[in-house]
Amino acid sequence: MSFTLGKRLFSSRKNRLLDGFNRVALVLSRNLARIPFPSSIYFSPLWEEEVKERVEKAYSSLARKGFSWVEIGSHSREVEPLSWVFPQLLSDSPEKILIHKGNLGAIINHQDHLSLFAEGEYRNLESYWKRLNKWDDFWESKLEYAYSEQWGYLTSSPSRLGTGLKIYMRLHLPALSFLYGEKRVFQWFKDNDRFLVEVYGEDDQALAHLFVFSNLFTLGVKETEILKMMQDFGKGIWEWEKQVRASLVKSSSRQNIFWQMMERLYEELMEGNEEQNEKKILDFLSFWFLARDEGILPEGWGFEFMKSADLWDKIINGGLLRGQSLKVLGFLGIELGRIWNDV
Amino acid sequence: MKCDICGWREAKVVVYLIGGGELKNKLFLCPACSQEVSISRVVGPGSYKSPPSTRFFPLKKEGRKRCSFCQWEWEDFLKGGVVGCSHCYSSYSKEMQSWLSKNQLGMHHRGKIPINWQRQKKIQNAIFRLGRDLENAIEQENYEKAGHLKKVMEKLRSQLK
Repeated sequence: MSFTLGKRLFSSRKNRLLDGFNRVALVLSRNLARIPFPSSIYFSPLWEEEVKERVEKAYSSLARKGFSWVEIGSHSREVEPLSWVFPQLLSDSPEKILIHKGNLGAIINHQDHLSLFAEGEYRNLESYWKRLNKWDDFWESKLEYAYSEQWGYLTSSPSRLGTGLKIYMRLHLPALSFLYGEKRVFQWFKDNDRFLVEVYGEDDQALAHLFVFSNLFTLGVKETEILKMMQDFGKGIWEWEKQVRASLVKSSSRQNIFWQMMERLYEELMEGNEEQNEKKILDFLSFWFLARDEGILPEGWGFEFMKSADLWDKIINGGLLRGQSLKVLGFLGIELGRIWNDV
Repeated sequence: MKCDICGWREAKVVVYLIGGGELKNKLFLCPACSQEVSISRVVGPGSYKSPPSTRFFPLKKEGRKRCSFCQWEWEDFLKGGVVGCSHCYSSYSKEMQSWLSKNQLGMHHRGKIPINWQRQKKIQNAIFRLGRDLENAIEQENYEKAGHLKKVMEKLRSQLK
């Protein structure tokens, strides 16, 4: 088969796409003193309004600094980039609010009264922490937090008790998944007792080989220690992924196996039904980016025009652009208009 | 009578809801709820016609240990992994310590401390120290110093929330 369309479609966006795959989010969970948590059945709607009112007072000074106030509804596009960090954000109750400026913000009444966050490219962990810490200081000067000398910041879930700091790291690991098999890689990460690993998908299946790591401990550990642990852990995994990528580039026999697998995936993709194909399409695209990023896309290989059109038609019209898939496709840098234009 | 908001504390405050010069309704609140909740939220547009307690504060089964503030039960935490309020941590401190010893790295917070909390703590410590000085001054019959210390302590106490 030939892959002419793919080369045109995916060239010239290498760095931007890598940034799109590998992301980091720092979240600080904070609650107001003497108010039940949003997790409580006694919370809504009386306390919900109370929290909103107090936050609104503090927000008045932020509005002048360019921050926006968004009442989160099912069609709030502003929260889409955060869906990998807060997957339950669009649930109906209680009503939530997003205050944000760029990738710095706060979500009100989601799990905790305030979830302060900074989200962005994987490499800028320390600078995100500095911004988030400052952001936390601002809210602390306006609101009284629920805090205890022994337990630290009191959060709705004791798994966030203490510092209240969770660092989420999403890494794109197609080479590791190709070499060792996705399930085995996932199991290795799961066996680690200091970090939590989730896949970007459902039922323990990593869509597009995206893995989300986060720190397991928040109490008995300082923020800077969590930062260092996550930095080292992420660096280690990414180095491992890079080594496997390098070995793929060097070894022509591995490349042959890779392309045989791609062809098999492609054939299955064209034959199967939409529901079965959801994961396959995303995995296929993920591998495609790996090949393109590492420069192992063979010259003259690409999709045949018609086959490509069939594939995109299945993605777009086959009901596959829903929920997680839509988000993953978004991360993969594919936008509806651009695909149609290219096809 | 129980509080209309929390549904379990004794009501000691009565709020008369008057509309068009006539008494429309009464709300019975406990001191804690009357201070914490904006009454405007209770009686504002689209206010609740039935007592809030019956709509938003479902009654719990009797005879089980629960948080004194929010009535959250430990079983609720074991099922959902979340607690109801900040008081749950002191209500279930024993159970929580056992759970945390298995699921967290330590039992004491080592991270950031809120600036306001630090300030309050400093004031409390200063009051404690001044209290000792006051006792000494009274023992030594230095009433002038004792009077001065008392004034300083009162000033510091007023700064405490």
